[in-house]
Amino acid sequence: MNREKNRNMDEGCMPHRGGKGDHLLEELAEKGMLLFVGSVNCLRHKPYRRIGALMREGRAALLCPSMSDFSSGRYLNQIVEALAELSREHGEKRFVIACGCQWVILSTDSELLKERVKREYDIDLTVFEDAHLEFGDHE
Amino acid sequence: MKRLWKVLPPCLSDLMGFEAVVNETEGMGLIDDSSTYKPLMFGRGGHGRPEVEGHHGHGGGRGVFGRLMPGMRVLNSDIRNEDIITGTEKKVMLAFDKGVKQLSPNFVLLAYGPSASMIGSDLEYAAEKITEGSAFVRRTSMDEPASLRTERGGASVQSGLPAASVKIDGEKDYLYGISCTLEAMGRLLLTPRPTIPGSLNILGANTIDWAKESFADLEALLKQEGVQILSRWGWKETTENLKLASAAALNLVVNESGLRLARYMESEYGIPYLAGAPFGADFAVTLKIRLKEAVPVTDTEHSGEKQRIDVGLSESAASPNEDQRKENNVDTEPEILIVGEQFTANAIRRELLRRGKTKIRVLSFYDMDRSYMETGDQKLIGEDDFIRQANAESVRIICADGDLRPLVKKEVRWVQLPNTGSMFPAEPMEAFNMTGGALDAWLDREGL
Repeated sequence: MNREKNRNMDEGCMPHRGGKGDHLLEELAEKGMLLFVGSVNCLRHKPYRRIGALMREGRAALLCPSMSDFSSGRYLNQIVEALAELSREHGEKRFVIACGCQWVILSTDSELLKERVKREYDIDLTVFEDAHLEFGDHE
Repeated sequence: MKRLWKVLPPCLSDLMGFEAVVNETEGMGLIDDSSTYKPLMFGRGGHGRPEVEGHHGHGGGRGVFGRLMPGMRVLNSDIRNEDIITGTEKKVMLAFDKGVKQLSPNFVLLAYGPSASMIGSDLEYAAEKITEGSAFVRRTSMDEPASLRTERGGASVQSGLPAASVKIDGEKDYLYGISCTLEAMGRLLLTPRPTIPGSLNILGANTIDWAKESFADLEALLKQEGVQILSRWGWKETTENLKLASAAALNLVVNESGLRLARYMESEYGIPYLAGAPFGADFAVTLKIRLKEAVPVTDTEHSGEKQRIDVGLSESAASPNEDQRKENNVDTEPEILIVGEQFTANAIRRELLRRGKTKIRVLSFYDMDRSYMETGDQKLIGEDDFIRQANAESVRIICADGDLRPLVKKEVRWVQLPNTGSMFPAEPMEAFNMTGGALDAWLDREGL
């Protein structure tokens, strides 16, 4: 075991742990089309390694607002607009949002957003509110 | 809509570009972020995708017993929720201490993670604190290595290392990150020096875009011309050599990411620059001629002042068939789109023009410089931009990453380009040698 671990270390990668993160994205995508909202940099985390494949399958998309979009609150309208566009193109009414740290730092009101997209576009939205700075997306 | 990506997988971020640069130096990078940065996979054919296979759990991934993974010179501050309220300064300093002990760096660059950027962390102040420590350290133990000084002093502010912050935060692409990091290194490390005639620096050749063979061939080509290479910015290099760079007679900018630094060095130290990827046999000849004109700078030994040379090696100036191109009726010609890093794409265009193709445009999702764009070239903001361009009636050939193909709803000939800047490509394609005649050979193989 240790020898295997050391070999992996020598190759510059950590041993594979097979934790929650391996399946998180797939589990979320089962609940509806996945929309990641955050910086492109956040996609380096392990759970997102399948995001490219999911995009190719038409099961995921990325919304990468700028810092000024976040700080001005413009990102909320961008999310609604993105969900509407994806719903129209894919005929999908169930969506899951996975988010970067900005969502949590800005204390985004997920319930308000859910109500809005339900009312305006009849979209059922689930928000995966990961405690981004504590755990979860890194596991 | 802009900023919505439905098909194209994400590109490497500016912070990954930062990582790509710093890992090749004797410095240390510190990103004010909650989670670890893992090695880019340079070992696998010079490839820059992040290693996501293995991870060591919560805030981990530093290797055994908190040590950095092999090849890594970038660490993170490990900030947590409470730091959003209290500020990240303490965590930055703790991480700095830890990093100095492991790496004994010659300099330090700080960058913002998205979360740190959101809360307005003051890394400029942190850099000042790190640098200011030098006065105290020099009075007490001037000859000791930084790691020892830190241990004795017990506080990071006693390091005495040159430090600066880089204003990137994970929002933009890797080329922008490389560009800003190189410029920050230049501002931090360079001081006026007398010019060394016949010398140059290579700026922007980075381990994401450039194959090892490409760089080796470029060095060989320059050495054949009797040019002394003082430093390599973006490639593996010592701090000592980087500091020598201000003595160069010329900068050779081989990738868009080297332009910011080149312009800084021109304005600050009067060093002229040649810009363009040295790809294609014809351009290699042009480069040799221009080198002969530019490198023997006459004003040398005194005052650090250099003769400013208007090299004028713009991409358009290097297009050999410009006149012929104007004579042809380009509107009736089938159009070729090249999508990728600007200088590489420009080099491919240059060779295709030489081969008689007349209507070629360069597009890029990455950082582009207006000075090196021709009419019709475009920086792509989103997938919609590309869809509009690629599905135009006139377009017949597209040279690009294969992941863009689903966005084209018409019959075109597709020529796959390396996609080393993509984080999760469907079919990874490594960078390959294009230096000198290698580009021509590739174009021949592709039947272009």
